[in-house]
Amino acid sequence: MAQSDNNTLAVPAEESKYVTVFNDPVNFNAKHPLHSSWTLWFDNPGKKSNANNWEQSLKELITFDTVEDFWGVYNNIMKTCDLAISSNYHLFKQGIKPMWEDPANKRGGKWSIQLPRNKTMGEIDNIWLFTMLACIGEAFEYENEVCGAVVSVRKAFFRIAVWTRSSDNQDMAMSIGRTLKKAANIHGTMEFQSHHDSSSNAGKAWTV
Amino acid sequence: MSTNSRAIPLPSRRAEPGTPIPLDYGTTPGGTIYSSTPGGTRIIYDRNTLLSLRNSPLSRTPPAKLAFVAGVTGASLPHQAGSIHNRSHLNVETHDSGSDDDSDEDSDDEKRKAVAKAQEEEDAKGKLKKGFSW
Repeated sequence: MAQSDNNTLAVPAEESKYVTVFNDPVNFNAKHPLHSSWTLWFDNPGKKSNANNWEQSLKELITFDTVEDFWGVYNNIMKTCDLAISSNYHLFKQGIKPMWEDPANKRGGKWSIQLPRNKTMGEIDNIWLFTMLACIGEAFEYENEVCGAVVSVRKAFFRIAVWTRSSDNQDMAMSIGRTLKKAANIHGTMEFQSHHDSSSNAGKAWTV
Repeated sequence: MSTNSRAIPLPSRRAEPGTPIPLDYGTTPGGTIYSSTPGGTRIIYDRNTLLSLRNSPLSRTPPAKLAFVAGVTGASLPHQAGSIHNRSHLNVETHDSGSDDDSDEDSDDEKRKAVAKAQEEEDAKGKLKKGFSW
């Protein structure tokens, strides 16, 4: 009793309990490695948002590199449909910040679509989930082109976007757009725009 | 950390006679667990493979390092306990209420007030600070 405030959190000795698929093809518990490490970010800048202080509201939630750790995160965070208005989840490869200024995004662009909130409420969780699964599962032919993905919760719509490293190669961009649309069961027209054009409100480059 | 020495298991895959060959048998993901090939082919998993791993005990465990953001991560999220949604509780925003700028398409005063109220209630309960343990 004297040491009742001792913190004795048990740390499982995981290494000793690993059972790989080779040891036991059914009850293995070794985690499945991902090709890339991914970082999940969250932000809700709310009304205070402007170009200067946006970054402050950006929160790095976690970085993971196995399938099971992805699910461990996904199963324990708020679903998109329950997020407050103006929230965003960003899933980016580790080392790439979810902002235009990052060297990996600087010359890049994004595929995006705005889905009406009312009509999409029941589907948005799966659309975002399948978008993330396409990323972490490396479903894209030009895997290195993909920097990350974003879901945005707004008053009237949800926006899904996938950010690419470059914006001047139509073949690569179109391939990513088609794969995304199929993988995430997206209905409607997705548009590709370079970040440079987005910031200057220039016209759309490509659609799929 | 076993000290027993034993042969490294060979990566052989056995199936009962008559077991159908997986649809993705010839592909890198799913069918082969360690699916990167020499020369740098990427490790890929298709959607069904990933979904099939969704509910294992490992996949249900929140990572220890998951950062806490009120209303986004942490204890008592609705889908965890399967409880009924409590929206005033869920809509807590992460930023302090502060000076209002004009700005964007998404802003909504009433929402912010509701959110601030929810946050106060939450703080009063002290739930978020004390109840959060991972």
